[in-house]
Parts: sequence; C-alpha cells; structure tokens
Amino acid sequence: MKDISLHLLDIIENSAKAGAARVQIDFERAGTRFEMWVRDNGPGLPPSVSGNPDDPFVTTRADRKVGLGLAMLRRAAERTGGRMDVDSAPGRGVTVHAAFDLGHIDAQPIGAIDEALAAAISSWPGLDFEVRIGPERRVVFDSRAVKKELNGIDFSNPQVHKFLSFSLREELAPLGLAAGPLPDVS
Amino acid sequence: MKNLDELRKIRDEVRKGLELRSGTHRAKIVVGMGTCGIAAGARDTMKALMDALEKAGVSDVAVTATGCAGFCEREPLVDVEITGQAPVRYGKVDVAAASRIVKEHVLGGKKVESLVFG
Ligand SMILES: Nc1ncnc2c1ncn2[C@@H]1O[C@H](COP(=O)(O)OP(=O)(O)O)[C@@H](O)[C@H]1O
Ligand SMILES: [Mg+2]
Repeated sequence: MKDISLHLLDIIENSAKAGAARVQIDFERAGTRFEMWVRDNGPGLPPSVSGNPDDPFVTTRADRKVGLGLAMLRRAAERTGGRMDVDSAPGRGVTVHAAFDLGHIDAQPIGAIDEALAAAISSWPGLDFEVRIGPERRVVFDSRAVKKELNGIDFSNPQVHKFLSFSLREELAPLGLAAGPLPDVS
Repeated sequence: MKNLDELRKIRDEVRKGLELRSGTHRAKIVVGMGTCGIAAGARDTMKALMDALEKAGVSDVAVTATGCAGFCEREPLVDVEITGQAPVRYGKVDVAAASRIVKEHVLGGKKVESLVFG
C-alpha cells in the first residue's frame, strides 16, 4: 500500500467481507503521532484465525492461502516505531487499532483519508459508517443520517459520491487527513 | 454534520434524472476493491469513474465494488454492465483509462477494445 489511507480502506474491506452492519472509525492526531481505530459489529475473527490474524499465512479466503492486509498494516505501523493490535471476541466484532509516528523516516504518508472513506461508503453501501475525531471522539460523519436524507438514493450514485467526498474533506482537512486544500466553492 | 441542505438539493436533482428514465439505471460499473485492487489503485479508479459521470451530469449509472476476483496482476479490474447487454470486463484500469471507459463505452456505447480484459 502506498499510504496509510489505503491500509484503512483495506481494513474496512475486511469488515464488509465479514458481513458487519456497522463500522466506527476514529482518528487521533497529536504532533507526529497518528492513531486510527476501525471497530465493526461483525461476527468477530473466526477461531482458525483469532490466535494470529496478521500472520500472512492465516486467512479464511478460499481462493488463495495468504491474507496480507493485516500483516501489511502491522509492518507499516511497526516500521515507524508504532504498533498494530487486533481485538476481537466472538459475536462482538473486531477492532483494529494502528499507531504511527509520522515523523519517522520510514513512515508512509497519511494519504487521502477523505477519499478512502468516500470510496468505502460507495463500495459497501450496506455498511453504516460513523467517523469520529480527537480524544473526545467528536462525530464528524454518520452515514445513517445521510442515508435518511437521501431517501432511497444510493451511495453508489456519482452526485452523492461527490457530496460524500466533499463533506468528509471539509471535516478531515483541519486535521491534515484530507487530500488537499478545500476546493474553492465560489 | 454540515451540508444537509446541499444534500437535499442533490437528492432532488438525482430523483428528477431518474424519473426521466422511469427509475431504471442505464448501467452499473463494478470496481474490484479487494486488497490487490486497492494496492493497484482501485480507489483512484473509482474516483475517476465517479468524477467523469458526475461531470457529465449522469445520475442513472451506479458505481459500486466487489471483492477479489483472483486476477490480482490485472487489477484494478472494472466491470461495465450496461442494462440489456453482456457485461464487459476491463483490466489495469488507471485514472486515464477510467475516464475513457466512461466517455467511450458507458456514454458513447462503444467498448474500449484495447482495455478489455482477457
Ligand atoms: N473485521 C473482521 N471480521 C472478521 N474476520 C476478519 C476481520 N478482519 C480480518 N478477519 C480475518 O482475518 C483474516 C486475515 O485478514 P487479512 O490480513 O486482511 O487478509 P484477507 O482479507 O486477504 O484474508 C481474514 O481472512 C479473516 O478471516
Ligand atoms: Mg483483508
């Protein structure tokens, strides 16, 4: 993965694949420390995986015998002196936590977290998303509220996708988590 | 959350566009969003597809995702399913290829032969 935002998208894909209904995604940034949590309410790690979910040779994929997503995230985090942990209990979902030191010479860039989230929301429209920032966990995005307003129009719609990118960018740019400066809306 | 008025405006416009076609979609575009797809750039591919459609004012085409199809070296994979036609699979769809596919195939009705997978 070329940046942290793509790891995030890949971790959300695990939740979607596992059949979770909801993911809660938290970000904290202070100085060069960056942390994220992805918590889902899916079935939890299957027993065959739960001892070592980020061993690349542990996967429940039927088509290929390696699962790389969690292993890659662990490497990316630990390379910066940070860490990655996976917490799960049967029936209580999975929480993936990763901490990075962005000032470390081996740190990947954060990338466009706003675009990663917008892509995730359009990719898995059946999954509800809540995004929170800071130690106070302020909610900055709730896909259920958007869905309610949309009243039957899908997240896979191009106009709606643009709206999603735009509002996520507005919320995440102040933390330096978005692709670029705010677009000029004049 | 901000912008709910903006959202209602979008909703009403999209609905008008869909009503013109009595609620049916002209096409569905599916992007491979498994680990290999994501590593190969599928997120930017999806964005390019969305942007091209949005700029063309198209609201009756849905862009969504699927998991790993097992052709990791050909990712990003994109399937174009035009209603009433056989689906077409494209491989190695980067940002430039994505906007070509929207222009020439989804809107223009002509497959981009050089990008077809297989
Ligand atoms: N959110 C989750 N819910 C349930 N199981 C998960 C979740 N995330 C990961 N897993 C399990 O851990 C395995 C390894 O995940 P990962 O490293 O992303 O590789 P892959 O997704 O390619 O299998 C998966 O095959 C799955 O069994
Ligand atoms: Mg995975």
